[in-house]
Amino acid sequence: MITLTSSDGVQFDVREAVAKESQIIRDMIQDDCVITNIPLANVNHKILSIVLEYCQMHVDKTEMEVNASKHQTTTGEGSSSVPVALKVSSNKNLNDWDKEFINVDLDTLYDLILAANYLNISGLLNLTTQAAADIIKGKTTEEIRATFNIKNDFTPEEEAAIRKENPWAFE
Amino acid sequence: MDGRDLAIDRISDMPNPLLTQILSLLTTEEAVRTCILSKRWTDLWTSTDTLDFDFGSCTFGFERRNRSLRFIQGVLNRRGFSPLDKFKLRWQSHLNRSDRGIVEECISHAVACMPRLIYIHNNRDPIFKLPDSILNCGSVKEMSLLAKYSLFESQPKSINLPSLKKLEIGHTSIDDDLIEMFLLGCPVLEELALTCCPLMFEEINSNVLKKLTIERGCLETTSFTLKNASSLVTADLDISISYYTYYEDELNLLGGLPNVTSLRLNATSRDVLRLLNKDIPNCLILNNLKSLELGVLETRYDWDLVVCFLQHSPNLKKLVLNFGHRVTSLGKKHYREKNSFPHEFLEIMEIRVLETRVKKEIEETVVEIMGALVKTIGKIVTL
Repeated sequence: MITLTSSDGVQFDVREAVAKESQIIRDMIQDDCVITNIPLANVNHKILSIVLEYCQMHVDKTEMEVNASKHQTTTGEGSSSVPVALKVSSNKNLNDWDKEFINVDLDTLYDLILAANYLNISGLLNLTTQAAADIIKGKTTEEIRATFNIKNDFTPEEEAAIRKENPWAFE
Repeated sequence: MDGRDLAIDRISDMPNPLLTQILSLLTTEEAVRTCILSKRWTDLWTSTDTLDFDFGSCTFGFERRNRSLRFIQGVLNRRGFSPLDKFKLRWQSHLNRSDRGIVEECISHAVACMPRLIYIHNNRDPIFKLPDSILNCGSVKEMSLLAKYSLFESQPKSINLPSLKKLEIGHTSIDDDLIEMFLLGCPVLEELALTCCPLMFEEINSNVLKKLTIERGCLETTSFTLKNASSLVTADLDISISYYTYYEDELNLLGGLPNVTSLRLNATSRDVLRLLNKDIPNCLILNNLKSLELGVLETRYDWDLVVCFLQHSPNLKKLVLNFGHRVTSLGKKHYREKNSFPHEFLEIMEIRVLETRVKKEIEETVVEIMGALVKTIGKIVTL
């Protein structure tokens, strides 16, 4: 077990495998194998608990698959092994689970992107940045500004100048 | 009170690498247009490592086509030669000679940025010519080239793709010389997918390939052989034959897959099944085969192939049988009377029969016959 402490002082006890989903934690543990308490200065307890939910789920699913394939290779007759179908469906379920998991408000999404980046959890970073890209997709400039509260700080002349500079982009 | 004025713009506060990562997931058109959101965004798109020119559906018509060409040129000029991770181009409209030159130049430009991944999907003819540099790109690990009739105007002069792991070729006829050039020129190729290609070559000879996918492949040679494929683990072969076959014609597959663990064999013409039947005596023991899908079964003669696989793959766990819409007599008595079991145990068997009046009947017959072929079946699923 490893204790992770959030920026606001809340402690989370997690299995080493779950914590190791984070590349920076993996590196820390490798450098110093007696480490048991890791303070995380950039992640508050609310976001950390969501991040750990993600790690827990992905570790569980991977372990399940490894067990399934081990069974398949060791049990010749296959009397008690996990059916191939289960292995296939678990992958599909994980994608569905991810989709449901990432259905969060914008503030949480930003925090998750920053946390995934800070903790270096590549799966979570891909998932969250894709979610952000999906929000931008198909929207007009005005809609994007409104969605993300981006303030248009161009004067009309400046905006015209940019459009003129790259005419091919706005035809 | 309007909350929007108070709301903070958090996305613009994110560090550049995160914003460019998000922009990399958009098409280049969408990414470029973010430059007028605010001053913060003006140059962000130029640091993305992805170019995704998706003109799949909007390049019809003179005006739009020219606009698309100007867009590609503008983006490349602006980006220069900074390194690329992904280069994707989807194009659909006709091109006159000078326009083709522009597209070819753009592809050359992108290839010079050393991408890891190249997708070029060109759904029209006459097509632009792929520059030789694309087939001699040292950095590319994954490549997908789809064209309507032919990728190449003439046989490529050389193919040298030392890092390529995954290759898909689509809608283009492949002859002996071309397949050989690809296999020799891609020494670490692990996955090869041929999609909707007329297959005009006689053999695939590779001892590095791990996965082979032939989707809607049409055989146009009188003999086809898988050779040396000891590294092949996954094979998904969906093939038909375009001509009337003769007795001497050959399909040498069953002796060429010694280490396959997952095999899908979808023969969409009777002639392929007939040739596979002829190949049965060459079948190796397939100790690693765990998952098998066979189709399209229609007559009682097709059970020979099923029995062959059951006999030769002692560790088979999952079997999927596909039945066509012209199922005639599945020959109830063909194997039922024998009392020995060619196979001991299956975890799961899936029976897929097309929706017809006699669906139920066929399913029952199959279950009965399989009951005589396999001692224990864990689970039977009908679809």
